[in-house]
Formats: sequence, C-alpha cells, structure tokens
Amino acid sequence: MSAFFLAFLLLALVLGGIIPMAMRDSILPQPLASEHGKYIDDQIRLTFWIVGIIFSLAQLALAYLVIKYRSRGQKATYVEGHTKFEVSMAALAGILFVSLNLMGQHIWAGYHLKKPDENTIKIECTGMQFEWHFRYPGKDGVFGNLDNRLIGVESGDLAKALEKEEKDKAAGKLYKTDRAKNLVGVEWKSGTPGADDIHTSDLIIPVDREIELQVRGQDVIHSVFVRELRVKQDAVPGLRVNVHFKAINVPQKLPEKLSPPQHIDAQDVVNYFELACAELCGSNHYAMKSHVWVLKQDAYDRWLKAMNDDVVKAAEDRDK
Amino acid sequence: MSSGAVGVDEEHEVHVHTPPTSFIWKYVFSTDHKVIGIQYYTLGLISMFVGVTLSLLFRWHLSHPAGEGVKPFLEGNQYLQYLTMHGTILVFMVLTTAPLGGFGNYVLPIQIGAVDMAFPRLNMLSFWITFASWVTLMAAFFVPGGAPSAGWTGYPPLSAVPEAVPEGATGMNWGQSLWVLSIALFCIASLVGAINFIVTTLDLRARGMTLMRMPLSVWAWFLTAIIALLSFAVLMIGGLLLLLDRHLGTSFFLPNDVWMAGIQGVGKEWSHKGGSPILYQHLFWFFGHPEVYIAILPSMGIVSHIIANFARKPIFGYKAMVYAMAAIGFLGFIVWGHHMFQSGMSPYLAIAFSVLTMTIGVPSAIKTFNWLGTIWKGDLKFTAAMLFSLGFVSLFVSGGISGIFLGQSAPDIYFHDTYFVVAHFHLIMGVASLFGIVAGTYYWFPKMMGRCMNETLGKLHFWGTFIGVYMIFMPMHFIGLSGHPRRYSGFEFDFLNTPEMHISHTLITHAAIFTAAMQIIFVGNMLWSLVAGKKATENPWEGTSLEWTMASPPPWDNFGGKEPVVHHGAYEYSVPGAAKDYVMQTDPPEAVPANAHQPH
Amino acid sequence: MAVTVETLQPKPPAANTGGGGLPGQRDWSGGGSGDDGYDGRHKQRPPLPRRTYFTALWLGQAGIFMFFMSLASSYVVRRGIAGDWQDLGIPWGLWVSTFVLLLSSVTLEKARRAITKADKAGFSLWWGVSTLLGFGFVGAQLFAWWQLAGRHIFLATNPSSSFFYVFTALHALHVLAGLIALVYVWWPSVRANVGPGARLAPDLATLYWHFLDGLWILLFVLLFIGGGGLN
Repeated sequence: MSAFFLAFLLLALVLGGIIPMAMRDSILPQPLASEHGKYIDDQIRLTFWIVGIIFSLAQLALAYLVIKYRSRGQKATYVEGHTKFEVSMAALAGILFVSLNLMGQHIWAGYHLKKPDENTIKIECTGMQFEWHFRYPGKDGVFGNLDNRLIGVESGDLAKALEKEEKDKAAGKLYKTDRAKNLVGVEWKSGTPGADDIHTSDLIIPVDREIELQVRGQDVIHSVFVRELRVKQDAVPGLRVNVHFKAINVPQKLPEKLSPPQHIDAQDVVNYFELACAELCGSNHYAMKSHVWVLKQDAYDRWLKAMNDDVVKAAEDRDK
Repeated sequence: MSSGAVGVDEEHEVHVHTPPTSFIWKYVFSTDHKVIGIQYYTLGLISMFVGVTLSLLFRWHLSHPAGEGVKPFLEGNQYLQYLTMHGTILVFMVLTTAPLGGFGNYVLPIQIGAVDMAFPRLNMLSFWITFASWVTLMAAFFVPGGAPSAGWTGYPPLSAVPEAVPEGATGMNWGQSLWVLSIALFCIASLVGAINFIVTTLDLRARGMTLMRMPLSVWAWFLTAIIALLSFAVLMIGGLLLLLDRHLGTSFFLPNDVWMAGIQGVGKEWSHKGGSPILYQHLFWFFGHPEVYIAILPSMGIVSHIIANFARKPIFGYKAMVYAMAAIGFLGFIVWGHHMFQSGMSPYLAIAFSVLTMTIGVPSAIKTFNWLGTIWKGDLKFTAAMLFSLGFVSLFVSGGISGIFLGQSAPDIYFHDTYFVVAHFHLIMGVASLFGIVAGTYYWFPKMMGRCMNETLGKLHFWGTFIGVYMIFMPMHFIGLSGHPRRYSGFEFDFLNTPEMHISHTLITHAAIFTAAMQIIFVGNMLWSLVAGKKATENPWEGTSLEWTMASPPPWDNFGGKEPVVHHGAYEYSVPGAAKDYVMQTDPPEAVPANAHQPH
Repeated sequence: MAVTVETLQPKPPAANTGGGGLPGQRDWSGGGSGDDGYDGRHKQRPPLPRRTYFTALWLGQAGIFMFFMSLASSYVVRRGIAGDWQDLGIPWGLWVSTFVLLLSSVTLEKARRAITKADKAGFSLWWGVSTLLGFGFVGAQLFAWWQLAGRHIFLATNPSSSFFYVFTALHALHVLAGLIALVYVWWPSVRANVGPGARLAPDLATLYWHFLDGLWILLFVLLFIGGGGLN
C-alpha cells in the first residue's frame, strides 16, 4: 500500500543519488589540473559528505515514519512541539553550515584577491560573439592600449583609423571594419607597447606557474570556463576581472590527434583542456570553443620566443 | 470600533443578499475572492500547459542533436526563445499566480473568517492587470522577431541591444520589449494584490482568530505578500531602466567599451557610456531571490496545513513554523548576491553574501524537522493531497541540499551556470512548489467545486509524477557535475559529445514526456470530477479550519450572514479528552479540555 | 441597519436624517434599486475600520518607497562608477516646484483643520488652493524640463540627466495619482458630504500627498547632491 511504496521510492532515491556519487573516482571531472582546484574539490567532497548524510537521513526518516505511523487504527499522540530540541537542532544546523562555508573562503580569497608577483604570467582573455581571444604582453611586459575604434583596423594606428573614418563619412561611404584584422582593438603601431603583444585564440600556459587571467567582454556578457582547471569568470563589457590559478602537472590521456597551435610540438603538451562559455551570449553560445594548452616550462619559453619573433616580423611588414 | 464614515452602525448582523446573476458580473468581472482565485488558478494552469510544452520542445531538441544528415529539431534562436519563455512563464505566470493569487485569494479570507478581501474591486483589478500582463507576454510569440531569447533573467547588454543578435535572426526585437512590459504590468498587479492580502489578514480576522490561531497557510500567504510588496517594486525599476536603455538611448546598464559586429562593424556608432551590466544584475536579483521564496512559501503553508490534517496531529512546533517562515522571508532579502558570485562583483561582497546564504539553511532545516515531527506518532491517511504533501517534503530536502554547494562562493566557481544549478532550482522551486499547488488542489477541490476528485486517479497521478520528476532532475545533477553548461543548444564540445551525456539527455527528455503525460490524468480528473464527481460534504477531510464549517461549495458570502467566532487554534487534532479526533476552530471552548495544552 | 462601505466615499446614513454631520446629506451609495443602495454586486459586511484604509495606503507607500529607493541606490552606484558623470545643475524651476509642493502640503493641512471645525467654506477654499498648487507643482516640473531642453539636455545626454528625467517623471506620475484623489475630494458632490465624522477620503488623500511631498524632498536632495548646485 501507499506507505510502503512511498518508502520504497525514497529508499531508491537515496541509493540512486548516493551510490553513483560514491562510485565515481572523483566527484568532478579529472584530471584536476590546478592548485586551487584541489581545495575546491576537497571542499566539494566535504560538502558532499555532510550533505549526503543529511539528505539520506531526512529521506530515510520520512520513509521510516510513513511506514511506522500509517493508519492502522491507532490514535495520534497530541504533541505540539518540543522547543528545546528545535532550538538545539537549529543551532546545530547553523553552526554546521556557517562553519562549512567559512572553511572554504580561503579558496575564494586566493582566487580573486591574490596580488601578482614577478613570476606571475599575465594574460588577457576577451570574450566576444562567438570566440575567445587571448593576449600576452610580449617582451616589454606591458599590454598595449585597447581602443574599440581600432577593432578591425589592421594598422593598429588610431590616428590613421580616425582619419579614414572621417574620409569615408565625408565621401558618404559606409565605414566598415573587419574585426578579424584586429580582434580586440590593440594599438600596435611601431613604438607603442602593443606592438609586441602576442595574440592567440587558444590559452597557452606553462605548468606550475601562477597565471593572472584578466577577463573582459567585448560585446555582451560571456564567461570563461575551464572544467579541469576549476576556473570560471564572467567576461563583462566595461570590466576587467582578474582570476589567479596555477596549472599543476597531472597525468592525462591526451587525444590521439592533437593539433596544437603553431610553434608547439604535440610532445610538449602536458595537458589539454577545452574552454567553454558559461554565460548566455546569443545564438552560438554553445559553440564558443577554445582550448587550454599546458606546456612544460621550456616548451612554453620556446613558444613565447617564437611568437615574439613572429610579432616583430609582422610589425616590420606593417611598417613597410 | 470607529469607522470614520458617517452614520454607520457598529456591531450589527450582516444581512445576506443574493449574488449577482448575470454571467459577466458573476464570472468575468467578479469581485468575489472565490471567483478571482479560480481565475488566477486557471491562468496558472493554462500557463503551466504552455510552459511545459515549450520545455518538451527544447528537451526533444537536446535529445535529438544535429548530426550527419540530421537537421536540428529547432532552428536558429528557437531553442533560446523557448527556453526564455519557459522560464518567464513558469516563474511569473505559474509559480506566482497559482499558489498566491489562486489559493491565497480563494482560501485566505475563508480561513480567517472574512466575507471577502478588504478591497474586492482592487482584487479584481489586480487579476485583470495580471491577465493583461499574460496577454502581453504571449504576444511576444507573434511579433516580428518573435519571443525574446536572452533567458528569463534577461541580462544586458544582450537584452538591451537589438544588434546583439545577428540581423535576420530572431529573439531580440519587439519580443524583448514586450517581455519587459509584461513584467512591469505583472509587478503592478502583484503590488496591488499584496496590499490586499496583508490588510485583509491584519484587519479582517473574525472574532477569536488571533494571529497565533491562524492556519499556517494563512501565515504563508501573509508573509509572501509582504515579500512581494517589497521586492516587485525593485524589479520594476530594473525593467524600466532596461526599457530606457533599449529604446531611448540611456546608459544605465550599457558601458562604453562595447563593440558589436552589428553596430561598429557596419559603421554605426555605439552611443552608450559608463553604465554597468552588473547594476542590472543587482536590481534583478534583489527581486529575484525573494521571488523564489514567493514561489515556495505558499506551498510550505499549504503542505503544513495538509500534513496536520492527514496525520491527525497538531503541526509540530507551530510557533517555530511561523518564525521560520518569517526568517526565510527576511533572510531572503539579504542573500541575492549568491546569484552573482562569478559576475565580476566585488569578491568581498561575495564573501558576505556567501556566509549569509548559509543561514537560510537554518529555518529551512527547522521546517523540515517539524514536518517530520508532525508525521511522527501520527495516524497517517494517505490521500492524494497527503501524498503530494509528503512528496513536497522529500523534494524540498533534495532541492535545498544542492543549494549548500551553490551557496559557497568557491565551489560555485565550478557549479555556476551548469546543469547543477538547473537541477537545484527546478527541484526546490519548480517541482516542490508545484507539488504544494497540486496537493492544495486535491485538498480544496471538494470545497471549491462541491464535488470530490477521484482518489485512485489522484494516487496514480502522484506515483507517476513523483517518480517522473526525480527521473528528470536527479540526472541533471550528474551532468552538471561533469561541467555541462546551461542554455546550450548543441554539443560542439568533446566533453559534451560523450555517450553518457547523450544518454542522460535522452533519459531526461523521456522522463519529461512521461511526467507531462501524467499531468493529463490530473487535468482529466479535475474536468471529469467537475461534472460527475461524487458530491462533497461540508468536511470530507475532517479538517479543523474555517473552510470546513461551510457548505461545499461555499455560499456567495461565505458565512451565510453570521460572523464566525473562533475559540481554538487551527491544529487541534487528536486532543486527549476531546469527543472526536478533531476539534474545529469554531467549536465551543469546552471542546478542548483545559489541561490538554502541555508546555513544551 | 447595514450599509455597504467599501469605497472611499464617505457614507451618510440611508435615511435623510442629517444628524451628526453636515446639513443636507443624502444617500450616496451609488444608485442601486434598494434604499440601502445594494446593486447586486457587493457583499454586505461590517464596514471596514478606518484604520484598514490607512494600513493599505501605508503598504502602498512602502512599495512606492522601495521603488524609488532602488532607483536611488542605482543613482548612487552609477554616479560612482564610470567617470562620465557630469553634474547637471538643477534648473531653478525645480526649486519653484519644491516650494509649491511644500506650500500645497501646508494648505492641505489647513483644509483638514477646517474639516475638524466643520468649516465647510474654509475646507473648500483650502482644498481647492491645494489642488491648484498640486497642478502648479507638475507645471513647474514641466517648466524645469523645458529649461533643461533649452540647454540641450535630454534623457540620454548624460547619466545625470537620465536619472533626473526618470526621477522626476516617475514622481510626477505618482503625483498625478495624488491629483486625481485631490480633485475627487474637491468635486462638489463629494466635498459637500465631508464633515468631522466623514473625512476618510480627505484624510487618505492628504496622507498620500504628504508622502509624495516627503519623497520629493528626499529625491530633490539626492538630485541636488548629484547635480552640483543651482543653475
């Protein structure tokens, strides 16, 4: 009858919820590939245990009570409550939940509030409809100036761009730009700090180095999300938000066919992750795909040098 | 008591007059709270149908992904449009109208012993404004550009700039503006309705109906109305400023360094400066979090009321239940930032919101504990209403538990905007709340319609739905744990294109279809019972509250001209020494022996 | 005998007694068939206590207050973020409107005193003056808008102007509702029945008006601080 069937369903619920969780080697996707990610996983595991126990106890208590007190001609006992018990339960719950929370706040502090040191690699991450773009400050260690009027302007010269715009307007022509020529609007004419900036569509980082990812949005709100690194940050137009993480060296079964970006050998790749968008940004929100390539330190240095050389050459070509 | 109006007698008997007879005044522009309650409920039911159908459409799309030679089921922006409307319709037109507007309107005045709401014509007005809001929202489907596609949360800049969607694509034209307008109308209707609820509860209680003798359902509606009063006004501002940004060139939410292919890319200029997309999120979620309590609190009250009735026991810890609901309502106003941890807001603010969010677990735990305490040592009757109420308790635990992961800012780094969140809010807000509405339907249908619903069908409805909703939403936790982002209409990523993901999606979709089909039993039961159900007696459930003292359905002026006098609390079941196993609130004082109330 | 009371209209006794109130009262319940004005649509019940109407109004005002406070906090936030805020310079028309509004509250109080003294003529006069001043307030606000337009400052010109127009427009909309209440009470057929024992409508309207006045002071101070002085 009803009581037994309900109890059975609740038991099935508990088993169906807890067993698959307990059977996973890990709660979150592997490999776990960042330092702060370890703490996040630990915190989640701890929460899962506490919550799992509460969940099981509550559902099983419900199951037990509906069976035990199903109507079999007994008279209900007139109990209006038990204040002391209630207060202690409430206090217990409060202490438990708040303590659990406070225990995890150091992770948050490290993620957002850490100050970069000389070893930190700063990388700018821009989300746009519908791709990701990364920028490295280059040899001078300084990011070039950004100006939206330079988006699509191949010369990276603001004065030239404004001049052309005026000319087109005066001639009644439509001043069109092709974003692909200068995706984020860097001023990179010779002599500016942006001339040596490195641009990639994938995120390339060395292992075991602190990264400061400066996240921004170009048009609408996006969100950079890398599962294995346990990194997520909304990319908001008008804001620049920093997150800190360090990729750690973890074994990973890499896909057979790896096509790394230029200047990277497949054997130098320590880890390889997909990078997704995690904030609704329009029709192709689901297809904003990029990748993270974690390289050995020397491979990263080689890549950086090769990219620097490319950038210098590209600048020379522009000047001609 | 002074009435301020000249020449009105105090302390007199109310005369009975015949109700209106023409169809229009009786059923359309009625000021009778009972009719208005049914109107709200019907609006909620129809909206439920629309919202669920939309979800089945985009769920089908997810379980039949485009592939080699396989066209996608939904084209273009349809997926996002259906998703947006599903959320908007269900949150506003179902979860806010049915429990509060529907049952609250019908039952609250009766349960406190009043003839009607304090301001019946205002009540009618708030329903018709809600209806206008509903029409405006539905109209979004039919205007150029179709329904909006920026999610039920509608974050700018996506929702504020038509060019954010490529030319020719759908979802960012008039539909988005109608969406805002619809919500603005809904806010006004809710504010007006909330005033009525609060004032009625404060001033129109019958003699002897003290605050602490009110049924918990009344407390729930009362507290919900207070939450609504204070929160909907803020949503109106968010919507208004969004509308201004969209149409009149202001820059409340739109910053200056925005570049869009549809604007600067084709030589137009970006005319906005210095606004903050995050400001919108603050305004939206300051409303948005209390809104989820608006959705759940009435169901909590209804469920408490029903469980006591069918356990034949007083609610365990009545006062604690009241304080817990009030605490949930109050705390609900200071935790909104937990929707915004990853938004780019100040990390310090995030810490504050995170710690505060944990505290809501406390009153929630008290309530769960007390529901279990009510069942403990009871004499449980498993009617359909009781089954849905017990199901509510299970769902409330399941849904609330996942909140503990999400309320911590660091774990939320991983979980934000994944299916884990979708599982959480569907279980705790969508399904649990719906179970409360359904439980209330089975419970009060005999009273409202004068006929009983079929109990066997009701039980069948419960088993199918209870199994179904868990089959839908439990797997969502798992795909969320695997990092499956929300609002994704395709499977471009390798980590999504796995057999497990596709099987999960297929399972969820089939469970959704099954669960939706189960609701046909419910609606069929209602419709059939309306005409051919067994005639209901005055008090088929042997309940104690005031609605069970009158005929089913109630006479037009509820109490037939005599004001009820209340002598007891709302949960005097199985009182030792009493004649029957329940004492109605209006029974004479001696019905409960003096020593029955033990200190606890 | 029972009389339906659920409108704001003061209800004289059904019989034409004129006792205890102003002379020449008549039944005002709205033209039904019976002599108690029952029209088949409203239920009979004890009249709502006076307090209930005031509670309802206070609750409405709480909602309106939240409305403007969320706008105010948006104002504060917006002013603090981007550096593009340009102080507006409050047009002097706004000062005039503030003065007029304050004056109208004062005259409204005089009207209420007149009711207590059963001074029908005084009430009519002061209430009428207040209503005219109320319209004057709206007029002065429109004039202030006209002044800004003359300086080419419109809604989207600058965030400070956006907020200015939104604040004043929304407040004025609520004032319009207040004006409807004032005009209603001043309508000859309504004001004829106002008396020391029949003053629900004027008292409610006055409370709402004072609320709008107080709200305006708050907004004005906010705009003044953010607007940077007099122009």
